[in-house]
Amino acid sequence: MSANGLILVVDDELRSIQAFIDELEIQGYTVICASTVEECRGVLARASGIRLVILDMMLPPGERPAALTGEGIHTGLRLLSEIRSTFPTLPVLLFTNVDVRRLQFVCDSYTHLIEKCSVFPFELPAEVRKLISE
Amino acid sequence: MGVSEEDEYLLSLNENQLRNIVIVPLLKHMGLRDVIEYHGGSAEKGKDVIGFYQGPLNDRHYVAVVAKAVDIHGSVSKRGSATETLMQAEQALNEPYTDIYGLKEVTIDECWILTSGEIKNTAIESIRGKLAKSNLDKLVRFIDRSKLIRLISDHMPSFWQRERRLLHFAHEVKAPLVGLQSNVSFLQRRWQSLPPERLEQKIEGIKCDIGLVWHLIETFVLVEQKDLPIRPERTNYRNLVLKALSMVPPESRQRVTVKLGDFQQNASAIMADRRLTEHAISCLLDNALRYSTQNVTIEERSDSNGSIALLVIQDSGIGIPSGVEERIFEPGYRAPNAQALTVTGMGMGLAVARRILRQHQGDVKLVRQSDPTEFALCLPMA
Repeated sequence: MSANGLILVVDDELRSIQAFIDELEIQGYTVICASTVEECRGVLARASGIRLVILDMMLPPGERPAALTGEGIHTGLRLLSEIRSTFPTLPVLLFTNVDVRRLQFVCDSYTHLIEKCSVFPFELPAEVRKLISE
Repeated sequence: MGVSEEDEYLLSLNENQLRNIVIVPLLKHMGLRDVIEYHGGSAEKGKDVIGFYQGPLNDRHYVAVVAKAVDIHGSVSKRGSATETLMQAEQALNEPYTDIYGLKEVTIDECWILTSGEIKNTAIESIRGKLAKSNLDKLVRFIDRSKLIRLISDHMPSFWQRERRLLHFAHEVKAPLVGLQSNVSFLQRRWQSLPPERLEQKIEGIKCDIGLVWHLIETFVLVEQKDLPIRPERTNYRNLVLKALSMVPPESRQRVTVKLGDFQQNASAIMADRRLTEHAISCLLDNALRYSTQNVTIEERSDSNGSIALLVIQDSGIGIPSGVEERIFEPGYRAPNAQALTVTGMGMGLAVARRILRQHQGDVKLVRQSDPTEFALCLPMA
């Protein structure tokens, strides 16, 4: 077990957030990655001791945002409700390129929201620590 | 009634966006002349957008638009959106306007109350009733969101498509920009403690993200550009393929097999605009890598009579379903199995690649739909 705990990162474009993952690992977290909904389900079923899920909003399969507004249904939101039904108090950080001003409704005590462009890698571990300790 | 995508789009705009993105171009497409957005100036006097129709006797029929991004409801006897709209319409019709082109003071002949929201019948009756007292009621037209959607579709049929493209592009470009921003920030902090191979990896990542941003910008511009001038020069596929490959992320590059043999020994000379043809190759390569987890092969062939140089890009990915063989070349179209597999993708690559190649008197063809999928770039030999 790592010093700070196990984090599951779910993102279909892991390459674009690799620096965030690297920084978490440098700061003592163990990171498991999943790039699809199926992979995420598999990891959650197998792994124990996950302290936090960092979840992208738009994941395959399918459902891209409503083409004209960037809104619409996002796969990540459906996955979130699935996670909630099994792990009601597991902290989830929605980490997304979607404009978060439109998504505040998903936030609660265990669900937080950060737009990818609004944080630097070295700032993410502090956010993660806060969420885990809360 | 369900809310359509067009409804959602209009509802997402603020008043300023509504005027500039929708109303001004719409009026121009409807044949109004000298259309200007008038909002914000001291001389506005109720008019948000102004233009005129040229009459049969060379007379000018001036139209002022009172633009709103809210529902217009209630009655003019109470404070609210109906009262505010009435005041603006009265001002638009009563206060003369200085036509900045003719530098003459003119009066408005017609006022359009236009909103991206709804207009309740009670509000229309109330506003008309009040305007009737000064005989202005016949000069007012009401355009609510559903009428506005019809007008846009009738007069600017490509508007929705263009806005979709713009939003897709904006979304697509965010991922590499996040990659760039985070990698640069990471390197700034961790530069000295990273082993050389990690450093190399990060720099390679940055290079690829820059390449991806350029690729997306280029694709978007090529779709939007009306003319596509080309500057052909003597080259061969090999040079172009190697350049296109250099922008592919290393982990994907490992999956690409470039078939040498004839390709290397006897590369056929073609006449091609290097930058554009390289872009077309990148588009096909990007698709092959995106929709397949297996190896991708790039192979040069020639047609049976030896006059056309073919570059075949082959993958064992999801394949092209029957029935959409031509649709995949339409800008913005993504096959259902492609949409199901990845969220990203503008659906522009094949359209742009074909446009580029046709401009060279060549083409991009779907040779084989699946197992493996094969696309061929065809260019006349030099």
